Amino acid sequence: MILVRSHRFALVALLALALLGAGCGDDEGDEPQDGGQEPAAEEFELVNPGALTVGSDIPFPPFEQGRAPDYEGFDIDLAREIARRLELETRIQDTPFDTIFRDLAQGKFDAVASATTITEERERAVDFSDPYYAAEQALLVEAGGEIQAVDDLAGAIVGVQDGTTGADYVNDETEARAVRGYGEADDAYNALQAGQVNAVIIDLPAAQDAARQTEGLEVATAIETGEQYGIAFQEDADALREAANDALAELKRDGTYEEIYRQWFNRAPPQSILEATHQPS
Amino acid sequence: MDVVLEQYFDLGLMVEEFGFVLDGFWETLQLSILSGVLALAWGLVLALLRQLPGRALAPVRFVTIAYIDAFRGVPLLLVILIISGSLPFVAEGLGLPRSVGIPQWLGKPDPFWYGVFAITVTYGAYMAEVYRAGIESVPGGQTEAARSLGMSHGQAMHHVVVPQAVRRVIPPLLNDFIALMKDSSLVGVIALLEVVEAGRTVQAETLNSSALTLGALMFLVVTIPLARLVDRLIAGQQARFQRGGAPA
Repeated sequence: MILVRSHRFALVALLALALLGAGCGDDEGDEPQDGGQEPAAEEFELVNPGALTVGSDIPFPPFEQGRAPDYEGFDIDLAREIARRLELETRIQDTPFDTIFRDLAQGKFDAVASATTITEERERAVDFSDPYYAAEQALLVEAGGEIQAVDDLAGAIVGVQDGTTGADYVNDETEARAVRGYGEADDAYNALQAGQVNAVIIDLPAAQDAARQTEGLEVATAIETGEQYGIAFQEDADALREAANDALAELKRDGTYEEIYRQWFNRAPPQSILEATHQPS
Repeated sequence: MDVVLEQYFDLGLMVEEFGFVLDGFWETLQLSILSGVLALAWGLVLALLRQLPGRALAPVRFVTIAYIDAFRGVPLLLVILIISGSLPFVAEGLGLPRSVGIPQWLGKPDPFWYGVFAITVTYGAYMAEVYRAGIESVPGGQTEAARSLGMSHGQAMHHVVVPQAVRRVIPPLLNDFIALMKDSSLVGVIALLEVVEAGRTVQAETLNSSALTLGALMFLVVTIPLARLVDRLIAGQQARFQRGGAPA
């Protein structure tokens, strides 16, 4: 085909249009909240001035679930409440879990609220807020199956979500024959249902939700690990983190925290969390 | 720039995790070679089915063309997800034993076999088209001469056409194999510990991406020589078709 002048022009125009279209892509952001609050943009260096951009691996019910822009969940509600007290709007950004801390450290968002456990390893790249949830892992299995306790995992194939403390637990504390890491918790549940893995180890509330939603799965046992979730911030974002800690403490004091907790977990929050604080290393 | 070097070229980490990533690459190689051989065979079968002459065999041609269209038109990732998600239940529904729905043959985990199945079924379709181009490029005179010597369609194909066709399409088939090898990393999405998954596991644990770079280097060690081989084969073919020709 001979490239006549008119063809060439059309080709260039098409290319330009395509590039323009690519550049105009929209993040899956939350709708900005109502209320004419003045943004406290000068105090913090925010990815989107006037808003708290929060990264989260959605879905992970009951902590984060739903579809953009109507995300909901314990983490989401807590993050929105904290942002509100900081006079910021909230933008939630869905992001894969196995790179979430690296992405935060690289500045893709201001904070991570994604049922993330405070660990020393993660503290090397990010700083955590005060704890906001006392967590445990759980052993999710086929209902009525052979595996009922952690010891039964010897020689079994266990599914986990990549990058989670559940994955670490299986690798370090069990005699599992093989560990299958999935990008999303859902994939692990599906594999369990299909019989491709013998058990899944994941955070207790998530496991309970999976058992409720899926036929044939049950939580065999909870696994106490003493871990606590914190909201993660960039390492040099001290002002933002401390302000968030203040807001969180206020939430716990005035009963809002208990309200949100009861809404998602149907019970009162443990005293240990109401009093817990954390100093980042 | 320093951050890029530190995040992607941390040599200390590459050395530390070399064994783990290499194990993943070995998994990739096994998956690619097995799927590649099966896809090459399956592609030839499909191409021959597509070529069957006569009105009586039109349904066979039709089904073959539909199959090839379908699997050239759907992303490999979708095929992998659908196969691994549905096979256990389909097998159960058909009353087949568990070892068919969740194959753990020869000590390889079931994602490996789902991967082999998905890749063979998809790349077979691509290769069928390559074989078809090869078959159609053999001059019609060859088939005519063969038939007039009394050979049946099958004999003409077997002894005259296909050997010539296959020789002509070795370079594009090799190219498809290189593509297959790279696409095999998609099987990581169903938790097969191939090289990209190995790199991502290290990345999640250490918050450093150098294992991914290491995986890329391992790929290059294999794919670059293969690409040069393809170049040599093409050059050899061209020499043969030009005046003077290549030494026999």
